[in-house]
Amino acid sequence: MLKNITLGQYYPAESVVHRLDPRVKIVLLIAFVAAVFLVPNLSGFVLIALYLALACKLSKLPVKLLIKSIKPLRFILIFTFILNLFFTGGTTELLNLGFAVLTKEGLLNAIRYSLRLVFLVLGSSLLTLTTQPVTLTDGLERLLSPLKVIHFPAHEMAMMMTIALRFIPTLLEEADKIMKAQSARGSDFETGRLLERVKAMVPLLVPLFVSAFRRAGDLAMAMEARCYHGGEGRTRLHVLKMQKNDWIAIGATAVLIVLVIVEGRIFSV
Amino acid sequence: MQLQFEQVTHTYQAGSPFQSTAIRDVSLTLGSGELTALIGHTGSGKSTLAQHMNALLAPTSGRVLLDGKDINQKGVSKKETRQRIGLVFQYAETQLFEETVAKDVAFGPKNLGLSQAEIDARVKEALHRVGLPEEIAEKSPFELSGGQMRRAAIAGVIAMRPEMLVLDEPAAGLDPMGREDMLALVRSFHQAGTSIVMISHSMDDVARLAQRIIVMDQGQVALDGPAEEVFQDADQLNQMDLDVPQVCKLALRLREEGFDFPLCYRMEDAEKALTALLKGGKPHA
Repeated sequence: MLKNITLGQYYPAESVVHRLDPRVKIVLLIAFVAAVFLVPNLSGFVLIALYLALACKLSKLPVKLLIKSIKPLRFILIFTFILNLFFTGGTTELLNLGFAVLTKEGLLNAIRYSLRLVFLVLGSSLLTLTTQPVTLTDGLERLLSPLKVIHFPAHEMAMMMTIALRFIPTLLEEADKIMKAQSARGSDFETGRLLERVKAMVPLLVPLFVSAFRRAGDLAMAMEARCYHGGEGRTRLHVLKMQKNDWIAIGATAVLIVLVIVEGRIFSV
Repeated sequence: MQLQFEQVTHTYQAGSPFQSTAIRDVSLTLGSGELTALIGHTGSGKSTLAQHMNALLAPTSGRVLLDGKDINQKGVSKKETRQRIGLVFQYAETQLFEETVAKDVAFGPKNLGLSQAEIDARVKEALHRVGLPEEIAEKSPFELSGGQMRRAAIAGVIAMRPEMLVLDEPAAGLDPMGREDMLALVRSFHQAGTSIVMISHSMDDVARLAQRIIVMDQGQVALDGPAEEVFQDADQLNQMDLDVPQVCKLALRLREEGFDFPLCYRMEDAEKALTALLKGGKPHA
């Protein structure tokens, strides 16, 4: 019943993008998002699209997979488009519907904001599709570790995220089993009114929580038995090291930002 | 009551890159008061097969018939199927959730829509049948010992009065005493007239209980027959990473050494034969 949920969207492949340092990928995503918002006019999006197309090509992802990531966003996109279309104001009238006026500024704004959203999602999807969740938390930990100076628990945060990610499939499997066991006792999870269905969740949730707490206790014990005492003085198995490709990626993204700014000065549309 | 599998195949996540076929082309007839053991190596498809018995899983192809009726057909009540065929999962104690043992055992009968008086009677009977003392009924299931929790969970299925009981590794993780008690319990259900299908890893447990043995290998039925026949095929069992019971091993070894020893798999039979042998048997030349 719950088996066919895929967690995260990591797409395994051998590519330069997959192999990039996760820290670099996170920072580059932030830079990319900044670039997307810096684009002042429509022609600038051509640059963004080219950059993304190149990254996609290098990552060996099926383009379809990337496009699919926009799908859950379609309603927000339509909503944004319509909202900007009619509520931007502006002076150049294109179409007067009586109850609303369509202006050139409105149309441009609508396209611009929708494109920004699309590229925002595509960029983040590219990150999650090419990076394993655990690698991602690892990169995040390293990026946040300077904040330890102000007592931000970067290691603990990352450890919690890693553990949570690790246990999601386990708990899903457990939920599936308990659901089946209760179904075998005549429990019905699939039909009935809302209230009945909520009530039917109790026999699932109680055992699931009991088991989650038990697992958490066992895990804590097992970690302590192996002398885990937090992040202090801990060395790592995989030390993140910047490679040539990482610097190239940073360079390419810097070029993108410069081009976007320059382009904005030259063209006005 | 008869449960019939007709060329049942089940593929998990069919059509995705993760698809895997757990059982392939299984045809079987179960029920009619037998005590059947279902054995096989990890991943041989035993549990998947068990979940087809009460329509928790539907076959990808093939049919499962209960008294001639396809249990996955539209209009056939799943609840009724699940009442008639009780399924006890592995580590069944993980399904306990109510405040008291009695309420937990009552969960199944309640889902069947029985009257309160009937439910109370069934709870009492079920607890008695699994050998739990009455004063436990008002305790929280989480206060019980591991073995008692397992019994309470089994009582929850027994309370639905199934005609056939499918148990997935009922003795897994219990201490030797608990194991003995559990096997005695399974035997008592059988003696009370319930058909039993017991999934097990332990050949010794199977040897002591089962009348019929079904051996699964890589999703298919490799052997199916009376216990004495199946255990004669020690070589084939070994090929499937399965063992024969200790008693069988002894018998086979003695025969190898040239003793006139029957191929037996039950402790009692071996004891008789051994006594006879010690009293005056000689190895054949």
